[in-house]
Amino acid sequence: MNLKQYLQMLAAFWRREWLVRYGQSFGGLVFLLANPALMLGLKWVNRTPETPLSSYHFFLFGLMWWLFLSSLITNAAAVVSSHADLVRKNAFPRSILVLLPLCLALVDWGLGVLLFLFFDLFYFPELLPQVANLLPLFFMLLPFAFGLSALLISILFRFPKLRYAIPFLLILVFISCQFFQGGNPSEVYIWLNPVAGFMTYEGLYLKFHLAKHCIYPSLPHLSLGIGLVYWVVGFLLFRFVSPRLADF
Amino acid sequence: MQGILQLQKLSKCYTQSWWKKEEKWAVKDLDLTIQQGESWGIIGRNGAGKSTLLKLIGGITAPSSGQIFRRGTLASLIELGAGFHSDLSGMENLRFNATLLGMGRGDFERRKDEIIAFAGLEEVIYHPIRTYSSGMTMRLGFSMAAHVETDLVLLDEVLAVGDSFFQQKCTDKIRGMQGQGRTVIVVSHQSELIRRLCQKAVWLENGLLQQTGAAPAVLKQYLGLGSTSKGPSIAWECVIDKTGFTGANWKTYPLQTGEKASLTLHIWSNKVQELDLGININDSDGRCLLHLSNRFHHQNLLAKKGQQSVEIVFDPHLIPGNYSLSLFLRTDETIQDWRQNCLEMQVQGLVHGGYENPGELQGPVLTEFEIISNTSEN
Repeated sequence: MNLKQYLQMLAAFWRREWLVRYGQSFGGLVFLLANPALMLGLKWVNRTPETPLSSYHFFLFGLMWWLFLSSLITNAAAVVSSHADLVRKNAFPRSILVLLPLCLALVDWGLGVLLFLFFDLFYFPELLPQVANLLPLFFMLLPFAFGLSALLISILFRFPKLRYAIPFLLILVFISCQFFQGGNPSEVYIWLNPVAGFMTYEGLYLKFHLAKHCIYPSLPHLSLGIGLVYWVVGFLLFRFVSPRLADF
Repeated sequence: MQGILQLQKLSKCYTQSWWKKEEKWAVKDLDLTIQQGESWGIIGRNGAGKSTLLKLIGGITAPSSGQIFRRGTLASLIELGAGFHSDLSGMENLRFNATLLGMGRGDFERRKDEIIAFAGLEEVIYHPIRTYSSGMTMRLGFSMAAHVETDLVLLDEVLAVGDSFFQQKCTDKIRGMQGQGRTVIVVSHQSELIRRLCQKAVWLENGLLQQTGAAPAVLKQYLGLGSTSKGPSIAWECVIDKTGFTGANWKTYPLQTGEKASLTLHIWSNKVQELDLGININDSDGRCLLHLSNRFHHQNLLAKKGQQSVEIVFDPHLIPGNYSLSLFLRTDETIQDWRQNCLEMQVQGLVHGGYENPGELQGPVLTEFEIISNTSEN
């Protein structure tokens, strides 16, 4: 299979998932947009003068990444349950199963960004250039996201009942937003969730120029390193598990 | 590498769980070479390892040990409709399946009408699959897979679905694939299907290769084994070598209501023996409507040693519709050969009467009769 065929197949899988979730009803699409909008609204309603970070920063450097990661994790679980029969009866590159949650999460994330930009234009046009900071963050997070997807797919295919633990995993990711409120995450926590390192650093630096106050001056580097460890472990585990996916 | 497919010491072992190392060998030390253009049948009882072997060949699962060498492209129909999503329309599912089976987007757009027409689902193709019957879903699945042009085609019990006429259509399609020089591997419990479609066969038992070779010889051994446990024995001392309608499309015969049909059978016998020849004419639901036998006509049929042909002329007197014919040979109480639904007969013509459901209201068989009016004149 050449690259063109591979990408066509990935697109076909993505299109199928997209149609099943959002293409069949107007409600699905509304919910997709309502999720980030609602969270932004809650933050807006609960704003106080003492809150160290603005809704803008909360959204840009906290909620956006939480949306991306929560979408990645829930999509990985959904891909396992909805594609189990397909895996047992059809031959196709199994790596698509790892890339599919990533692609789906990217679309959810992209919609969130669009919503944010729309919001931004009206309320914080002067902060709009800060959106550019999303890009390096995004590329630094990709190895972690890929590794996490590969780990989840490998583990959930072998132990499907672990999908019930997904809400706890989401809470773990969500807690990172609390760290973003001004504290410093511990090194152990960054090993569990490297995103927290990026978010804390970016948030503190951009809002208060407080990076020097971080307990780890090289916080983004630590997060990137841990993300790469996730990528390598996820890749190796998936490589070991993928030929046996149809047996589970 | 020899042939289009070569299996070397192929084994597949399943362990019950990762903490209990209870091993179950689905396939063990299998060696097989398949040449381009050959048709192979895989036979065996439930749990013999047939489907696992097909999954291994199809690359769906990895072998525990041994090697698979494969050339060319492959389409596997391990289960028709696997991968179909019930909430998506038939067209969307076709589009996805086409990509999954390796058909390019342009190729699919060019051939989609042909695929849909083969399945006979033009009117419902934009409806969600959940509104389809299981037969319709299977037809769509087969039609999609049958139109993908690959060198090697794997079919797992895919012809056990649908009505007998769609099965016939599928059989013809598979024959077409064979005619194009494509290699076909069929897993089926229907020995008749294997006999009709395959030149060679593999017989598996508990994951072990029992026999491989020409399909009739392997089937004979396999069915012989079955007879020790249950069912009637098939002696195979006298077999129907070839059969078809005389002077017509050999396997399918269009017939007008009231027209006589002529059937030619080539019989091979290993000795001189007296035979009972039976023909069952079945409707599309498989019900036997008519049974013809030389025994009922008190007519002796003596088979000579070697090959001979027999012609049977009959007037089925059936209402228009599609029928299948099953043939059997018997000596005393021993069944020598049994060919289930091996021929198709299409009866055409006008329905007598004008009722909407002539089959239900009038019955399927027409008979000649005369009404004699004995009205007395005053």
